[in-house]
Amino acid sequence: MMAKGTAAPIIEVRDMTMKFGSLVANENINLKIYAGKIHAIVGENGAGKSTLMKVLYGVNAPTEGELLFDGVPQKLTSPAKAIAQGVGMVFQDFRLIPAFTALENVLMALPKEMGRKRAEVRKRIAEVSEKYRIPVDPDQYVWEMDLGQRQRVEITKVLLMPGTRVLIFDEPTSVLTEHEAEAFVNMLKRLRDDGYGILFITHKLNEVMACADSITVLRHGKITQVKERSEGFDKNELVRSMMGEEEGSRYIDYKKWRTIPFDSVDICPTLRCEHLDVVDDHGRKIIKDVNLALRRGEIYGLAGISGRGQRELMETLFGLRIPLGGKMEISGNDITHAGIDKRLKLGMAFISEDPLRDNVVPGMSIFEHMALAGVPVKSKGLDIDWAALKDDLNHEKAIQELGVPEISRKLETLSGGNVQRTVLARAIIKAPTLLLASYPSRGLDIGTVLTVHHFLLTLKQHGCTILLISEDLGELCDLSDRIGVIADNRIYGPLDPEKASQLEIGEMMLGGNKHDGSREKAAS
Amino acid sequence: MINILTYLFSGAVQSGTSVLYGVYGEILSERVGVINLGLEGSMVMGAFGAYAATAQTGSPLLGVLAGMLLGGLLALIHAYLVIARKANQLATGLTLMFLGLGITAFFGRGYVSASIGGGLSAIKIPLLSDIPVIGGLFEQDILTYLSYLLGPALWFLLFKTRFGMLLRGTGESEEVVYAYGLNPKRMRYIGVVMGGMLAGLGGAQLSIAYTKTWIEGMTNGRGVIAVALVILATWQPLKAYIGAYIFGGAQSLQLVLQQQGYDVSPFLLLMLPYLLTLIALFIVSRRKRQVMPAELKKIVESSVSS
Amino acid sequence: MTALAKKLPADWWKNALVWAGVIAVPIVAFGLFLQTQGVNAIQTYGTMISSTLGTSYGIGEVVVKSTPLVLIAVATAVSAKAGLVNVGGEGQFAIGALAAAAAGMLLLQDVPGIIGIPCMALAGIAGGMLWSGVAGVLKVKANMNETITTLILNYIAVQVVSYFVYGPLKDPDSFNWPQTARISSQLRLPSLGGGRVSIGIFFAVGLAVILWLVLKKTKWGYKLRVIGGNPIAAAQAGYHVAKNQLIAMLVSGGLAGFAGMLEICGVEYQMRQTTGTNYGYLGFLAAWMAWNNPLLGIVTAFIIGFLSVAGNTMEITSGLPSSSIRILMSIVLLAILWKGRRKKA
Repeated sequence: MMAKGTAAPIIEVRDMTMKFGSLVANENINLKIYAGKIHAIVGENGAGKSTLMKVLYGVNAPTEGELLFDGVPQKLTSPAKAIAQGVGMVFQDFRLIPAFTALENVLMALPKEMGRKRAEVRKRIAEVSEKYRIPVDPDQYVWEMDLGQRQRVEITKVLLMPGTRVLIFDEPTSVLTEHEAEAFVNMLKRLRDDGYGILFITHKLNEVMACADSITVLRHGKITQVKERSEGFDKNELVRSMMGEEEGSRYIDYKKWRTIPFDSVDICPTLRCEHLDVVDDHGRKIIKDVNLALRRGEIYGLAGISGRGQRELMETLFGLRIPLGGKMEISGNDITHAGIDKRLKLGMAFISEDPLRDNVVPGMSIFEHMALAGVPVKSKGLDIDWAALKDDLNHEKAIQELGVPEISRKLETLSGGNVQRTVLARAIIKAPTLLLASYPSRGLDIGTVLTVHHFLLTLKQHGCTILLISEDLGELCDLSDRIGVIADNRIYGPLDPEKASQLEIGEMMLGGNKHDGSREKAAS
Repeated sequence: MINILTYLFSGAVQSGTSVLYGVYGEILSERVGVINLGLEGSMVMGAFGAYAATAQTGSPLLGVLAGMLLGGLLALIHAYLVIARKANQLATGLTLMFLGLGITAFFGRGYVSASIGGGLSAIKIPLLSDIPVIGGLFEQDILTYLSYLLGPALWFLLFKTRFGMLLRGTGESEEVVYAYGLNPKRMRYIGVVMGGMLAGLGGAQLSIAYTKTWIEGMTNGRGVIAVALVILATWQPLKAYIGAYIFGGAQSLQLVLQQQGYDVSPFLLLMLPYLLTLIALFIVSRRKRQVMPAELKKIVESSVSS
Repeated sequence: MTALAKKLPADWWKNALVWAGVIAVPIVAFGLFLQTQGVNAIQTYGTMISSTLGTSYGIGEVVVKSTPLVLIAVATAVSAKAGLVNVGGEGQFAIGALAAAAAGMLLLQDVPGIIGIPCMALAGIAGGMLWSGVAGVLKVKANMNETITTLILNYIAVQVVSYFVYGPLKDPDSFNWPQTARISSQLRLPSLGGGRVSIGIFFAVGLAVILWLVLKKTKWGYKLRVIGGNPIAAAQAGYHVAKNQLIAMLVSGGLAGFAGMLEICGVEYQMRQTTGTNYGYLGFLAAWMAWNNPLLGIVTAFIIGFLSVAGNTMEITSGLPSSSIRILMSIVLLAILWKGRRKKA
C-alpha cells in the first residue's frame, strides 16, 4: 500500500505544550511517527496520554509548539483536518452509532461519493477483514456486538477511510480478552508491515514490549524516557520511569493491614450470596450461581476483564437490579427483596462505576449531594439542618484529605476526578458496614489514589467489609484479603493475594478454568 | 352493511390523512433528534394557508403550496430556537402551537364564510375504485393519494439513501456525525422544516380537501395526536398508517353511527380517537426494546431542567 | 431584599437591559403589526393598560383571571421539580371544575357553605387528581411520556365536559346553553368588596407560598429535586422514584382541580362548556416563564392574566379579535425562549 519505512516521519510533534488554564497537561513533547513503525506511548492514568492524542486528532490546538506532517507544519483546527492528513483514530469509547449496522457506520464515515456505494463498501469491508483478520459482520447492529466486535468495526472504518496512513489506538486492549489482545497485537504487526504508521497508547507494558518498535514514556505530562527496540526494552526501567522514583517514598505497607487469615470463617458474614443469578440489560444471565460470604472487616477483590458483569453484580447487590434467582443477606438479614432504602439502613454504601452519570444532580451543591445516602443528617423542622451539615462537613477529615473542592460549589461544574473525590468522601464519611466499591481510584492522580487506599484500609480496620472492583490487578492484590475472578459467567476463587501471582489471576480471567472445585462455598 | 364498511374505510382515510401527514412530519423531525410539539401549529397554519390561498386565487394547488410553506415556516422558527439557541424543545413547541392557533384565528376571521369552490376534488381511479368495500380508498383527493405513496418514499429516503442515513445519524449521535466533518445542525434544520412542511400539507388536506371549510382551531389536537402516534409507528414511515387510520377510523365511526341513527352521545364518540391513541400508546409501551432515536431520548429525559 | 442585593452580579444592569430588550422588542414588533392592520398601536396599548390597571373593575378582572393561572403555574412547578412535564393543567382544571360543580348542584345544594364549600374543594381536587393520576400511573407503570399523555387527556377532558354539560348535568332551564345549573348561593365564595373578585385569590397565593416553602425548605422538596434532577442518583439514595413522581403528579393535578373548584365557587357558579379554556396552557407557560419557581409564578401568572384581560378589552375597543393577544403572548414567550435561561456557571 505504502512505501515501507520512509525516512521522513509522517507526523512530528515538536516542542508541544498543552495547558488548560493553569493545568499543564503536556509539556515540551517531542515525538515522531514513521510509516511502517509501531510507536507506543505508555504512562499511568493522568500522565497526559489522552491530551496528546487529542492534539494529534485536532480536537485541541496546542498552546505551544507545532505539528508537522511530512515535514510541513500544519494547524489542525478540527478532526476533519486531521482526517485529511491521514490520521485515523480508534477511540477507547468508539465513535459508533449503536442503532446502525456495521456497514452503515462505515458508510457514514466515508466521504460522500464512496459513502453511496453500499455494495462496493461491503466488498471492501470483506477484503479488509480478510487481509488483517478482523472479522466484521457488515449487517450486524452495533448494539448487538460485544466490545471486541465494536472495536473491529471501528478499526475497519478507519482503514477504509481514504488516505488513512497513521492509526492511533487509545487503550485498545482494555476491552479485550487476553486471547483477543493477542490477535490484536498480531493485527498491529500486519498493519505495520503494510506500511501504516501506528501510535499505540496504553498502560499495559507486556503488549507494548511484544510489538512496539519504539516506546515513549509519559509521566505528569512530560516525556521521561524514549527507547528504541534496538536498544532493548527493560521492563523494570520502564516501570520506574512510568511511576517515578518519588512515589516510592509515599508507600503503604499493604501486608501490615492484612489481618484476617485467609482461611478463617465468619459465622455471620457481612454479605452472603447464595446461588445468585445476575442478569444484564438484555435479560441474559451474565454471572451465574454467585456464592459469596464476605467476612466482617475484609476487602474482597473481584478481578475480571471489563464488561463481564461487574457492573451488573454490584447493581444487583445494591438492589438496583433484580436477580433471576438466589438469595442475599447482610449480617444475617435477608435483603433479597429489600429496597435500596432498607439496604442503606443496614449500612450498605455504593460507589458506582460512573459517578458522573449516576450521582450528579444538576443544580445541587456538593453538600446537598452529601445528604444523599451518605452523611448522617440532622433535621430542623421539616427540613434538613443544612447549616449543621455544612459545619460538620467542613471538619471532616475525608473531605480535607481527599481534596474535595469547596462544598457549596455545584457538583455538575466539577471535573470527573473531583466528582469521584466527592463520592468517595461521602461513602467514607458514612462509615458503612458494607461498601460496594467500583473502580474507586479511577481518574485520580497517584497521590490521591494512595490516600483513597489508606481510607479504604482504615474503613476495613473499623470493621467495614468492602467488595472491590478494579481494572488494576496491582491495586486488587495490594488491597484485597481475598480475590475472586470473574470468567465464563462465573466467579472463581477465592485466591490468596499473598500466594497467587498477577499472572495466575490474569490467566484465570481468560476463562476455561478448571479451578471449578475451588469455587467458594458459602461459609456455614 | 357493505355500504357502511365502504363508508367507514373511506371516511377513515379522509379523516386520517391529515394526521398521517403529521406523523410523517414528526417522524422526520424526531429522526434528527428534535421533538416538535409545534406540529399542531404547523398543521393549523397549513389548513388556514391552504384555505385562504385557495379562496383568494381560486387555485387549490396554490393553496396546497401556501399551506406547505406556512407549515414549514413555523417549523423553521422551532428549528432556529432549539438548534441555534438551544431553547427547551417542549416549551418552544407549545408556544408555537399557541402562535399558530393565534395567527390563524386572527387572519382567519375573514375566511370563515369564504368560498373555495370545490377545493381539492376527488379523483376516481378507474378499476381500483370499483373494488367492493375498499373502492372508496381510490376515490380521493390528490393529497390523499400522495400520502399513500409518501410512506414508502420516506422509508426509501431514510433507509436507502446516504442523505437519509445522515438524517438518522444526527438523531442518534450528533457527536459522531460531527466527528466525520459533517454538519449535524444543517441536518436538523432540514428534518424539522421538512417535517413542518408535511404537517402543513396535512392541514391543507383537512381544510381544502376533506372538510372544505375553515374553522378556528379546526385541527383540534391532530398535531398533538400525530406526535403521540410517532411512538406507535416506532419512528418508521411504513408504520405511520396504522395510528393515523385508527384515529381516522374512530372519527369516521362516529359519523357512521350518527348517520345510522344510533343514540350514542357524540361527545363520547368524539373522545374515541384520543382514547384509542392513548390505548395504542399503552400497548406499545409494553414492548421491551427501545427504538427511540438516542438524541431524542436525551431531550425527552432532560426536558425539565433546561 | 439585602440577600438579593448581595447575590446580584456586578454587571446586573447589563443583564437587566438585555431582558428589558427581550420584552420590549416583541411589544414593539406587535405594535408595528397592529399598525399594518390599520390600528393605532400606541392608543391600543394605552387602552390596554388604562382599561385593565386603570379601573378597579379592570384590576378585579386581572385578579379573577390570574387566580387559576397562579394555581396551575404552581401545579406545573411541583411536577416539574419531580422531573415531569405536566401540560395537562387544562384537563385537570376542567375535570376538577366539573366535579366540583356536579357535587355542588347534585349533593350539596342544601348544605351550609361551611361544610359544602370544603366538600366541593375535595371534589375538585379529586377530579384534578384523577386526571393527572392517569398520566402519572401511565408514566411510572408503563413509562409513557407524560407530556404526550397529559396533552391527549386535555382533549379527552373537553369531550367529557361537553358530554356532561350537554347531557346529564345540563340545566333544564338554560334554553339549550351547554351549562349546568347554578350552585346555591351559600356555596359561593365571599366576594371582595362585592365585585367579581372572590377570596379565592388568597387561597391561590397562599398555596403558592406554601408550595414554595415545601419545595425549597423541606425534606420532601429536597427529595423531589433530586428525583427531578437525576432519577438514577435518587434511586441510589434509596428514594422511591416512581412513588414520589406519582405523588407529585397527584399534587399537581389536585392543585389544578382546586383551581377549577375556585372558578366554580368564586367566579362562574356553574360549569359551562368553555369554563377555563386555555387556562391550563397559560398556567403552564406562566410556570415556565418563572422557571418553575412558585413565588415567581405568582408574578408571571399575573402578567399573563393582565395580558388576557387586556386582550378582551382590545376586542371591544379596537375591534381586534381577542386572538391577537395570543399572538402577542406567543412572541413575548418566543423572545424569552430565544434569550434562554442559562446563567453563567
